Amino acid sequence: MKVLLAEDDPYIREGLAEILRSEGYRVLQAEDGKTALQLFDSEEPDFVCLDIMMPKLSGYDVCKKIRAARTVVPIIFISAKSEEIDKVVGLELGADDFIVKPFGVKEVVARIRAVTRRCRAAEQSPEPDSFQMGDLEVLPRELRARRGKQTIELSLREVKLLELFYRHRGEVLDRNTIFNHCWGEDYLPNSRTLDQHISQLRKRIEVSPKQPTLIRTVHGAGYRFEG
Amino acid sequence: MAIRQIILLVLIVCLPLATLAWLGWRLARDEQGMVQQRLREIARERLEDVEEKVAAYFRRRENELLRLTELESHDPDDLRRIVRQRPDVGHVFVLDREGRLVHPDPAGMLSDSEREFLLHAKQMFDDKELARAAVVSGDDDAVPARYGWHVRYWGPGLNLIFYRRLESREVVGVHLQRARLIHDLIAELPATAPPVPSQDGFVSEARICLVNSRGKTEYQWGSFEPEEQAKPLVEMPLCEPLDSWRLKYFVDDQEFAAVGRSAYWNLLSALAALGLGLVVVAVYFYREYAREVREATQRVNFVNQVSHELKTPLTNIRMYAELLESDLELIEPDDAARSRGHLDVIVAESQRLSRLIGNVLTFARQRRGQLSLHKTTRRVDDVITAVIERFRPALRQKGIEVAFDAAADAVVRLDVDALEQILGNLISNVEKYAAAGGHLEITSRQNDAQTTIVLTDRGPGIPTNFRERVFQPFYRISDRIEGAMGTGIGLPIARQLARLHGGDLVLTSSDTGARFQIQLNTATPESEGDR
Repeated sequence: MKVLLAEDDPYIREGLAEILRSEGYRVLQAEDGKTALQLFDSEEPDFVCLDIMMPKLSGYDVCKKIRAARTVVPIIFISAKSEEIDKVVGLELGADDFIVKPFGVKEVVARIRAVTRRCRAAEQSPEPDSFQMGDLEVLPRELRARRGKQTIELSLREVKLLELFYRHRGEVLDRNTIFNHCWGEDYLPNSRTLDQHISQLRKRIEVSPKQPTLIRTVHGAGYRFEG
Repeated sequence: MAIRQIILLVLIVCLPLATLAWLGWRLARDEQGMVQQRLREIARERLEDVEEKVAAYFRRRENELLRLTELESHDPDDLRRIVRQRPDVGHVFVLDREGRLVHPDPAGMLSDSEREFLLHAKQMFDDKELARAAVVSGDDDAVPARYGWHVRYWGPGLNLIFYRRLESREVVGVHLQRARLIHDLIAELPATAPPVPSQDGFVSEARICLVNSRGKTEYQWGSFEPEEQAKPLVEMPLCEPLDSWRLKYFVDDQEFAAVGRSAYWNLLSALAALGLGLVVVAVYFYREYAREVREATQRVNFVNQVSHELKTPLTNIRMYAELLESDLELIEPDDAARSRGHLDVIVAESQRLSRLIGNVLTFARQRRGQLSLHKTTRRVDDVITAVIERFRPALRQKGIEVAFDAAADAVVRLDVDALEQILGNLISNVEKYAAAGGHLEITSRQNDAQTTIVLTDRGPGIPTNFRERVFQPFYRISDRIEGAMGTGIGLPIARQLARLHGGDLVLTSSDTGARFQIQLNTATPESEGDR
């Protein structure tokens, strides 16, 4: 999924981009409203994160123009303006959510996942609503997995990984395949990055992360889901 | 200028002015009435003086006529001689004991004057008016009146007849010459009317008229010329025998109406001065008030601006600290323990600063009357869990265990930011004031549209007499608590936000520490609709 991120403060923009990327999104960055609109037209992102106070064109104006062109793309406002009237204006212009600065990473992640869930629920996809990996039921559209009564929140990337392992159950998947599928071809492969993500995923989905039963390491080759 | 301020200004200036004007108008009206009444009394006194002069004149005439009627003889020649000798006497007549006219004898020789007199007075004699008048009443024991006046009208008008009952019970009468009588009377009266004094000077001109029984003025004096139909200021009847005549006192109506009017001018001047003074005072106070409001607004705007400006660096500190924290999760726990501890401090402090800024901005919004909610759908337990997670490092550092008994897992409509702010303020208080207890218990319950969240700590608690005061802005009992600092707006804001949710935040009694209960009216999305 492609996310357009428009924010004039470079540190906030880069930090948010890092969060989005680690969640599994491809991030398009814009430092002002005008660039944001150009990127929106050329790249057609799946959803948009907009700061309100931006040079050249405010977030409100960008939102209005986007809504005039495409009505369904989700838009999240990110702003220091926490006044109620700002929220109301933003939402009346057609924004889907409003994140107020200063925000925490978990809050951003939760809101982005909520928007992604809505996008995926609306998508017409041939893929099943859920699939079973051992005792784990994965709900890819909801970015969640269930084990008994326990609900596990997942990132977009984690869902992509699980989908890949499920489709190739019993097969050993090498790092390049996994990178190409889950990170995109333009991402520079880094075996440590992948290992860290697999490690994180195991912490979430395995009953005993140190002795994984779902995603096993095949030394020198890659990873495998036994099925 | 706001309508409320205009109304206030009008009340400050107009209300006292109107009250004083009403009271002053009544006072001026009463004073004018009193002055005019005093003038009337003076005029009446003048008329009474005149009346007294007339009365004195008639007393003299009576004495004179009594002497005249002490007749030694009833001889017609003697009686006619009296008439000839006295120009003021028109006729002298005598009635016998039965009231019959014996002189001038109608059957005898009569002069022209006597004939004319008898012609006019015939009826009087026929009716025996004088015979009756000479007796006080018709009773047998009636005491005869010795003398008196009788008035008849003939010729040009009034004719005065003096009668006297003699010891012989005969009646002697004297008809006075009308023209001579009027002349003598006028000679008794003054030629000019003095001006009537008043408090404001004088009603400069006046006129007194002596009006006869036919309404015709017999004599008048004084320089004022009244209109024909003018009403007298004062009038009164003359004494007997001219009691059918009246004395009238005229003054200029307009001049009289103006008497005492200076009281109104004085009142108007005083009110104008007072009104001007009040306006000056009101404007002065309004300008002072407006200046204070402007300065207060500038201060609030400054705080708002600074708070907003603080948000960007704060976002970066918090976000990068949290990113670093998640990076550390990828490193072996033992290697990262020290760095994670440092990061916990940065994250906790940035969260504290966020809370402070949030409270300042919410408080400013509340003061401007702009505090309202933005509701979305969420599970209350999810919000509580997120807030607890955010506080967990700081609470852990203070040695506070958190126990969350969660039972509010329905998706409801609420303002997530507001609930986070309420919980953040309450947990922050536990961190600051109740760390010694080492325990925080949070329970959540849902019942229809009501969500109840209870936070109980094991700290020193809040004394009963402070339970309501802690919800007042800037009220802090924490100064008594060692080392604890705060702004004093956390609890008031938390309560206000709970009340905006149709609920409340109360401090309930607890055996251990403080126990805050948050009540929220959280309708489910299905029941409320997607507003």
